[in-house]
Amino acid sequence: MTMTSEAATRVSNSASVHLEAISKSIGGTRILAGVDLDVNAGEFVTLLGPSGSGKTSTLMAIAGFVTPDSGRITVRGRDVTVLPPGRERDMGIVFQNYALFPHMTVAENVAYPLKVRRLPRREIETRVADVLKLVQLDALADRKPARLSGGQQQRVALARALVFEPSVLLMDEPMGALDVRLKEELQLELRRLQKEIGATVIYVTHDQNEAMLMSDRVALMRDGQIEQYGPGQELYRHPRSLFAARFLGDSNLLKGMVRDGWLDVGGLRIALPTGTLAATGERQAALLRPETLTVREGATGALMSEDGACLYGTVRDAAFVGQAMRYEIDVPGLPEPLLVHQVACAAHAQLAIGMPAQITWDRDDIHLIALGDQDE
Amino acid sequence: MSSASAIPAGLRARRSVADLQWLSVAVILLFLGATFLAPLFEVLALSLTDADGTFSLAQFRELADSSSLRPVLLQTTITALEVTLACIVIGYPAAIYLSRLEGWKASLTSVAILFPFLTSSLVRTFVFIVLLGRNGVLNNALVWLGVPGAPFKLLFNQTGVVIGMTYVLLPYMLLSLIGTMRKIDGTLLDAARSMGASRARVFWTVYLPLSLPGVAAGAIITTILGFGYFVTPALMGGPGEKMIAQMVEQRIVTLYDLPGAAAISVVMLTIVLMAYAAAARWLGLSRLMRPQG
Ligand SMILES: Nc1ncnc2c1ncn2[C@@H]1O[C@H](COP(=O)(O)OP(=O)(O)OP(=O)(O)O)[C@@H](O)[C@H]1O
Ligand SMILES: [Mg+2]
Repeated sequence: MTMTSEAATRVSNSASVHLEAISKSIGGTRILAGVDLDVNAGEFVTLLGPSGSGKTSTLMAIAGFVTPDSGRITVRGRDVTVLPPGRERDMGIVFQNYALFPHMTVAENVAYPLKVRRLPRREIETRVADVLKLVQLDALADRKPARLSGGQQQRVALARALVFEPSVLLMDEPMGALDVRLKEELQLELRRLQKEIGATVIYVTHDQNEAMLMSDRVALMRDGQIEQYGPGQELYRHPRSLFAARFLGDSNLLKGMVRDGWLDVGGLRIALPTGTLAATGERQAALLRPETLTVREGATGALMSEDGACLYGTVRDAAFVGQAMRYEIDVPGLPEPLLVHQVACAAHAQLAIGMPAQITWDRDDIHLIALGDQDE
Repeated sequence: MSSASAIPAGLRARRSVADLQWLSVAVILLFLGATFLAPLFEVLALSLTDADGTFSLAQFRELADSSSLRPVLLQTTITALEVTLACIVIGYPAAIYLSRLEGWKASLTSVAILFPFLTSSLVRTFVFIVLLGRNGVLNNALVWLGVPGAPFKLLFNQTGVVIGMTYVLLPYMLLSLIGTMRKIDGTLLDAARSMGASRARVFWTVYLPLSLPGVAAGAIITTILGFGYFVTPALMGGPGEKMIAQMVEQRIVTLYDLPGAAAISVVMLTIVLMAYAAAARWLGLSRLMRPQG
C-alpha cells in the first residue's frame, strides 16, 4: 500500500486507553479476572493468547459491547466503563468476520459512519474516495462485499473503521481467514498505515509471529488475565513464566535447582548467566532458545564439559526446514530432547540421525525463570 | 462402471440407497402426475371445449365479454393484497420478537405457529364467527370497555373476510419472516451501533433491508394463497363481496356450468403463475444482496 500524502487520512485525535482490574463473569464462569492494560496514544498493542483466554472479551469490553462487573476503562482519561457503544465512544472496530453490510456497495459501507454523523454529501464523497485510495480499493467502490476476495473485504472493513477518524482502532483477528502470503502482505501494510496515521490500535490475534511483527507491545493473556505485557522482544527473551516461554516461539526449558552458583538439572551442571543472584535451593528453569544453541559432531561417551555451557547427546531427529536445520538431540539425564535450530550454511556441518553431538551456547543467552509451587 | 462384484460392500449399500431414492422420486412424480397434473389437463381441456365436445374458445370469449368476472377479479385481488398487508403489519413485529427466542422457547414458537395447520380451516373459521359476531367475545369486550361505535359489524362483510383470512394465512408470513430474520448476522447490527448509528437507524438501514427477502417471500405466499381462498370468504363474507373461488363454486354447484368454471380456473391459474414468475425474478435478484454461502 503506497501512501500519497493527500490520500492519507490522519487520525490526529488518537487516544490513550487504560484498563484497570476489569472483571466479568457470564453464567457463573469468570471470563475476565482482573485485566490491567495501558495503551499509549498512537501505540499498537496486541492481545495475544490461546483460544478462550479472553482476548475478544477484553476487546469487546473496550468497545462497550461487554459491560465489566468491576474495574474501570478510561479513554484519554475519561471514564467510559459503562458508556454504550456508539458515537460518543468513538472507536473504529474491525470485526473478526469483517461485518460488512451485504446490501451495500463498498463505497456505501465506508460512507456509513459518515452518513450517521450527517456530514455534507460533498465531504462524505471526498473522504470515502480518499480512504479507498489509501487501502487501494478505489477501483472496486461499486462492488457488493459478496463479490470481493477475503483480503479485499478485510481492507474495506479497515477503511470503514478508519474513515471517521476514531480515537481508537480495535481489531479482532482481522487476518484470521487469510492465506499466509496475503496475510504477510497485509500485516506490513497495516503496520505502515498505522504508523502513517498515528492511530492507537488494539489488535487481537493468537498468532505469535503476527503479534511480534506488528506490535509496539504485546499483552499475553491466559485465563482472563494478562500474564505478561511488554515489547515482543522482551516477552520472547525474558518471559516471566513457563507459559509465556512456551507460548512464544520454540523453547528448551531445563528445570532444576540452584546449587553453589550452578543450576543442577538432574545431575547436569548448567552455568548461570553472569551476574545472576540466585540463592542455593531456589527452583529455576533455564530457557534455552533453539536458535541460540550450536551443535557439532561430538565425542562418543562424553557427558559434560567443565564450563557448564555444553551438553553431549545423540541426534534423534534432523530435518531441513528451509532457512535452518532442526535437530532433536537426546541428552542423557534430560527428560525431553533438546531442540536446536541451526542456520543451514557452510559453517555448520550437517549431522545425521544417530550421530554423537555436542551442544554449546553462550551462558548469557540463558534466561532463568523462577519456578512457583504449581510448576512441577 | 465396474462390475457389481468388484464394488465394495459399503459402496454397494450406498448404491442401493441411491436406487431407492430414484424409486421414491419416481413414485412421487407418478403420484403428482396422477393427482395433480392429469386433473389440471382435464380442466384445461374442459375450458377449451363447447357443449358438443369440440374445440372452442367460446368460454373465454364469453368471460371476456361478461361484466361479472372483472369486478370479482378486482375484488379478489384487493382482498388478497389487503390480507397480505395485514399479515406484514401484524407479522413483522411479532417475527422480530419470535426470531430472537432461543432453545425451548424457539421450538415452542415453531410448534405454536404450525399448530393451526393441524385443525381444519372450516373449524377455525367457525371459531372466528363465534368470536367476531355481534354478540361475540370481541364485540362484548369492546362494548364493556365503552369503545364508541361498538358493537361493530365484523362478520359477513369485507372486514370479516380480511380478518378471517389474515388469521389463516399469518403463519405462512411468520414462518417466512422468522426464517430470514434468524439468519441476519448480529455482528452487523453491532457494527452499525459501534459506528454511531442509533437503534432506529440500525433498524432502517441494516435490519429492515436484510429482512426484506423474507417479507417478499411471505407476501408472495399469502397473496397467492389469498387469491384462491374459498372457505373463509364463503363463510365470513357478505352476499355482495364475492371472491373468484366462490364464483367457480357457483358455476359448478348452482349453474352446473363445468366448462365455464374450468375457464375461470384457467384464468386464475394464469394470473397466479404470472405473478409468481415476476416475484421469483424479483426475489432472485434480491438474493444477490445476501452474503455468499
Ligand atoms: N457470551 C458468553 N457466555 C458465556 N461464556 C462466554 C461468552 N463469551 C465468551 N465466553 C467464554 O469466555 C472465555 C473467553 O472468551 P473469548 O471469546 O474472550 O476468548 P478469546 O481469547 O477471544 O478466544 P478465541 O481465540 O477462541 O477467539 C471463553 O472461555 C468463552 O467460552
Ligand atoms: Mg476471540
